[in-house]
This record gives sequence, structure tokens and C-alpha cells, in this order.
Amino acid sequence: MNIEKIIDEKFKSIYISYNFTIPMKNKEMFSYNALLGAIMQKGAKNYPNLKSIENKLSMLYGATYDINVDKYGDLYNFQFRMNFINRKFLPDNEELLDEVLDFLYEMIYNPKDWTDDEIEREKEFILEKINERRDEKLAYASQKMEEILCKDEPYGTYIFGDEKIVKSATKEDLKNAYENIIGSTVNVYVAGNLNGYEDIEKTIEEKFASKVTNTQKLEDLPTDNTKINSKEHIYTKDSEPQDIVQSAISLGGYIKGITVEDLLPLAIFNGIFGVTPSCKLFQNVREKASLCYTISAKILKLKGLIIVYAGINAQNYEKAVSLIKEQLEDMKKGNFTDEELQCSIDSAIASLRDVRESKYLSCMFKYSNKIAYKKDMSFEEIEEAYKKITREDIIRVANKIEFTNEFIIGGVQNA
Amino acid sequence: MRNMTVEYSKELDESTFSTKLSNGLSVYICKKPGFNKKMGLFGTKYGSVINDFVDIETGKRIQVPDGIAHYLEHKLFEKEGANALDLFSQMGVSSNAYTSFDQTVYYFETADKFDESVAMLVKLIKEPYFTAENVEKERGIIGQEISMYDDNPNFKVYFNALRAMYQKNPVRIDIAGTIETISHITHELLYTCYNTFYSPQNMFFIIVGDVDVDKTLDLIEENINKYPNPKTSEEIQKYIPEEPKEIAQKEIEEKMDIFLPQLCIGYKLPLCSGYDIQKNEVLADVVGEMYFSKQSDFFVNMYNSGKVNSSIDLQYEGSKYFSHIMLTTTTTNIDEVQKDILKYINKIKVENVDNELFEIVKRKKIGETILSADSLNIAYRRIIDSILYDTDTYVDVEILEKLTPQDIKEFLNNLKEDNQVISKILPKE
Repeated sequence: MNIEKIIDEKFKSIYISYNFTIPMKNKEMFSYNALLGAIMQKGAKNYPNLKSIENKLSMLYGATYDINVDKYGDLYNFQFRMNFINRKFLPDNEELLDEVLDFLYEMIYNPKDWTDDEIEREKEFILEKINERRDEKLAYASQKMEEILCKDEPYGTYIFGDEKIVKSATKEDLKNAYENIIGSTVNVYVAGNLNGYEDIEKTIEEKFASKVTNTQKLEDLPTDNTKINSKEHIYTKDSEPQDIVQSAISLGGYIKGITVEDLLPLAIFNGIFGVTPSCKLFQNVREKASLCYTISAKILKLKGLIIVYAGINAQNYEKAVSLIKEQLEDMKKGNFTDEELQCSIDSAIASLRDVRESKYLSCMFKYSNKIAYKKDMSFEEIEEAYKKITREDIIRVANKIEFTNEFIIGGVQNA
Repeated sequence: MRNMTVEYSKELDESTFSTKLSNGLSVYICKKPGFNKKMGLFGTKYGSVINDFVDIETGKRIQVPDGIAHYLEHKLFEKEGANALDLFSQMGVSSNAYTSFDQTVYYFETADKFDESVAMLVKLIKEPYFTAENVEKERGIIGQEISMYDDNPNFKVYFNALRAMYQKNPVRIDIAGTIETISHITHELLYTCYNTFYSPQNMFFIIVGDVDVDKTLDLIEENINKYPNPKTSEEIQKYIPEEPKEIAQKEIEEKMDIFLPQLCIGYKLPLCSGYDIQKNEVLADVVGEMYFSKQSDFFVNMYNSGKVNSSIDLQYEGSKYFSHIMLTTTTTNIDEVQKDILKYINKIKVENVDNELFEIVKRKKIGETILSADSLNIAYRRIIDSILYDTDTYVDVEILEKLTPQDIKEFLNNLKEDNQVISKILPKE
């Protein structure tokens, strides 16, 4: 079994992340797995309903359990997560580990026989998730841009799937989705103060190994982030009318011919361009032009995409878009100072250190590095690599970026 | 030698040190061994509800526009044309600030630029720089911040509930004010508010992280002492309008361009002591878990019948100026859910408390308290509570341990019909 430990004595609880990974296929895969995640979170054979699960967790001193689904480039992650208190900090040093692992095993490998009513109920739950996302305008503008940029790819599906497919899902579809998930690549991460838990890998192995049949490694799963961004794209504008006070805009584009060597420079690029308070977008679009309160850029490195989103007054739409584009042009021309570069490197290193303050982020750091770099990358390695990034590296990656799409919510009514 | 108070929580295995500097500034240090990240917070006991007070410079009573405390937060976190977020960011340090009803807080987070960050934070707060021009420039940015909240249904349902509960208390006004009220804010008014409320006696400095207590106190004091002591008065004279016991209106409804309707049921309570504020917070947490969480029969039934998909949240909010309970949820069956919740509340008020469930939930909450030691944010929030409510730092832990079923019963009795308001956000047709 692939089990990794992250030992950090400062933590009072222990976090277990049990990951299944499958290559993305289609809208059906997203829809069925979203439904599967919802229903598995609500019950298993020996914990048949929500109440029995919650009761058990309370007895485990408020241990937490959930299922999370996420996209990592063209890979789909289905993750069971638990967090529980280290015995050193419990009354009478009560040990919870065995019970926690038994519970987790039940939830993963001993599902109940779902009734049609239960399936229908969870469909409603997922449908609401799909529909309610339009209520958070800025996040929605950014998500919609992801979908627009990847409209011909599985990645372009919303994480909770497609409304029509969710509605039509059958018990058979769910069973197949389940078999597919548990038969996929498994990666387990354990983080916390593991002094006194030296045998934790062995304990997990004994309990779970017989169930893990897939021997394919995470780093060997197929990912290809160059496919969409090597195509030619026609500049396109989309909009969605909404009767709102502020307009949410997003600007999206591809990072053409992105390679693994570009990933760390892109993070430093974005520190200068769009994500820190010193960045060009914040300084020029917000501070100087007073056009917005929120503006930010994100790099989806595993897909080779860039998305900028902002909340503006619709009458400033053209002005904001052209200012954002100007900032990218400046980056391409190398119009940034050595101080800006250094500041971005310092910020990136500071965020890297922040990752270590969170058990969850530390685990996902290891996991996503395996996908991005096809190998382990330590905090120190990345920190060292950041320090070596030069002005030329930034200009090189900036020149791979092309904005190809605009999207605006609520621009029609309040323009 | 400093006169230092040390508070220790056995459950969290965590200590908080506090002292008062010679100029009257209170300093708190919560020691978190092993954490790389250190947080520094500089705050004042001044927020959006204080709009009417005696100007410390002139000695005259003055009324200021709504949203000025928040505007001041924006302008103070800026230094001669550079945004503070940017200045910190240039050092590789992240920072931010927030304004609430009764506090304004500025903070940074850093692993290795601690001394420089403390110096920068003190410098920013101690060197205000407001001009007609830079105050004007900020109006567009804050205007967009206000517009963003105008489109946020969670925020709307909450503020509408406050407006329904309170007749006069400024808690009914949006923290950032409105586009109209902020148009009256000038650099002179910002200086008036700054001079009155940013004196050492009204402020606090908090550090959370793995630091040396004495050295850190020296560092803070050294930076603070670079500035002369401002003019202060024993007690800042503030005028908060007397709030009638009665609610302002029973129901409030607004339509927005959204998919998912929002429901908030609020209960206005009489003002209470700092200890009781903290006790009510703990109680709301326990009562919410017992009666409305996924382990309650009520929620499970609501869920299974398809009426509610997300959670039903119960929270208490209190301060020197207000006190209320709010139950919030989102649902496409808003009328039915409202009816079910109200009927259920009447039922649980007369029923006996399930002792077994009470003990299970208490066990969970004790666990969550221990788990909270893994978060630096919870550590500083606990300290701010103790400052504003004038209680011991770890009083919440002590309250939880002493909690009895009788306390639950008494808390539930606050949920009465005559102090209840209903706020709804509905989709536009």
C-alpha cells in the first residue's frame, strides 16, 4: 500500500486522507461520482444513517469524517478524510486510532444496499449544489470560465456533474461508479504528531491492504495538459444576464506549450501579475484606477490555464478588461522590477511555509506534486527552486499566455 | 519587571501571557510551540456601532457618517500612497484587516519576518496619513465592496434580520455603510475618529505563535515608544441610542436574483454580562448540535423528507451593545421549513432535556475544544473575546465543562414568540 507519513509534533490531532484517483472520462463520471460521494457520506452497512454516523463521531470526541471530490488536471480525486485527537491529549489517554480505522473501513468498503428513495434523495442534494452556485457571483464567474475554456474536455464539467445526467442516474450506475472508484489507485496520507504511533502504517496496512487491488502508481496515471492549449482559439465573449448590483467578470486564456519546467516560474509570475497585494492587477486595477474591490488571477497549472476574475461596475467593463490585458503585456515585455520579482519569490516561500501549518494542505501538497512532477518534491526542493527563478524565466512563461475568452455576469441590466 | 498575568489551559495545553504597557496598551501573547507561523494583531475597541461620541480633541459631541470605522480601516492600512497589504507583501508577509460592530483589527502572518512585521504594523497604525485626495480615491474601491455585499444573499438575510430586531441600535446599519453615507466621509472626520479611538488605552496588541515572551514584549514596547503618547481621556464618551425591548418588525423579506432561498429566524435578547455572552456562545453551539445538527432526529427528518439539504445553524451573538440568537438555513421549501422549525422550537422548550444526548454532545464539544489548539486563528479570537467581554481567556473551556442540562433548558426559554423575527431572501420570479 502507498502510505505516507507527515510527522509534525505541534499538532494535537491526527489526520488521515484516503485517496482514490481515476483518469477523468466524461460528464457521466462526474455526475455519478458526485452522487456516490453524497450517498456514501450519509451511511454504510453498519452505520445505516446520518444519525448513527454523527453519534459515532461524537463518541470519538468530535472526530470528523467526510468525502471530498476534486480535479487535479485530468485526474479525478475521490477522498475520504478523518481527523481525530491524539491520545496524549485525551482524558485517561484514551486511544481512538483502532476505532477510527474501523469506522473508516466501514465507510469505504462496506457500503449499504442503497434504496431507490435514498438515491432519489441524494439526487436532490446534488442538484441543489449544481443550481446554487450561481448565487456566489464571483466564484461562479471564475468557474464558468473554467468550463468555457475546457468545453470540449471532461475537465470542463462542474465538479458535481451535469443536471440531466444526475437526474437519470440509476442504482446500477452508482454501483458501477463505486466499483470503479474502489478499484482505482490508492494513496493514503497520515499527518500529525506520530510519536507513539510508530506502527501506524502497519496498522493501516493490516486493515486495508487486502482491499487494495490496483497497483498502478499515481505518478504513472495519464495526464496531458498540453492538448487544449496547443490548439488555435478564436477570441470569444460570453455573458449571463443577472439582475445584480455588481457585475462579475472573468477573463480566461491558455498557457501555450506549457511544460513541467514552467510550473514553478508560473507561480512566481502570478505573484507579480495577479495574486499578491503587490501584484499588477491589485495595484493598477484596484488601487490606481479604483475599479474594483476584488481582483485576482489563478493559474490552473495542471491544465495550463489562467483565469482572472473581478467584481466591477458594468459601465467600467471595457476599461477593466483592457487594463487587465495591459498588465499581461507588461509582464511579457519584462516591465517589472527586480524588487517585484523578489517580493513574489518571498511570498511564494511564505505560502509554502503556510502549507506546513495545515495537515490537510501538507497532504494535498504531496499528492498534487506526484501528479505535477511525477515524483516527490520536498518543501526544501521547491523553496530552493523558487529562489533560482530569474527574470528571463518569468518573461518566458508570460509569453506563453494568451487571453482568449471573456465572461460577464449581470452586465446587461446595470450597464 | 513587568506585571504579567499567565493563564493556562490544561485541555489545550496552551498558555496566554498578558500585561499592560506603561502607556496603557494591553498586550497578549499566546504561545504556540512548534508552529512556524506567527500572527500579530493590533486592534481597537471601536467598530461600526459607534457613530456618536465626544471628539477627544475638541471635547464636543459629534455624529459621524455610517461606515466611517470601516473607511478608516481602509485608509489607515495605507502609507503615503502604498497599500499596507502591499508593504507587507513586499516583505513576503501576508496581512489583512477587518471591521466589525465593536472592533477594528489589523494583522499580519509570517514565519521569518516577525520583528520587521511588528515594526511595520505599529508604524502603520501610529502614522495615519489621510488627505482629501487619498480619501477620495478609496471611495470607488469601498463602493465596489458595498456592491459585492449587496449581491450576497447570506449577508443580506443576516443584516435584514438585524434590522427587524433592532429599532435604534446602529447594529442595524451595514458595517461598511452605504454608497450615500460614505460620500460624506472626509479626511478631517477620519482624523477625529482616529484620534478618539486609536489611543493605547482603547487598543490591544496580540501575538500568537512560538515566540519568546519577554523579547516580544520588549519588541512591541520599543516600537510603540517611538511615538509620543497621544491625548487620552479616562473614558471615551460614546452615545449608543437606548434600544427598546421590543423588536422593530416581525417579518422582513427581500427578493434577489438567486436560486436558493435563505431563511433566518432571529431572537432579540436583553443585554447581558461578558461572562453570559461567552456562556451563550457555548450554549448556542451545544444546543445547535443537540437539536438541529445531523445527529438530531429533527434534522434527519427534515433531510429525509427533502425539505433541507444543507445545515440548520444556530448561533448567538453578543456584545456590550446587542444580544441575539439566530437560526439560519437555506431551502427551496422556505414556508414549510419555517413552520416546521417554529413548531419544533415550541416542542423542545417544554420537553425534558435528553441527558444521554447532552453527554454525547458535550463529549464532542470537549474534543472540538482540544482540536481547536491546532488553529492559530481560534487562539486569537478567544483572546479578542476575552478583551471585549472582560473575561478570562479560557473561560469558554471552563463554561463547557460546567454545563448542565438545566442550562440548556434556560437557553431554550429565550426562544420566545414576542422577541422573534423572520428574515427571508427569495428568488426574483
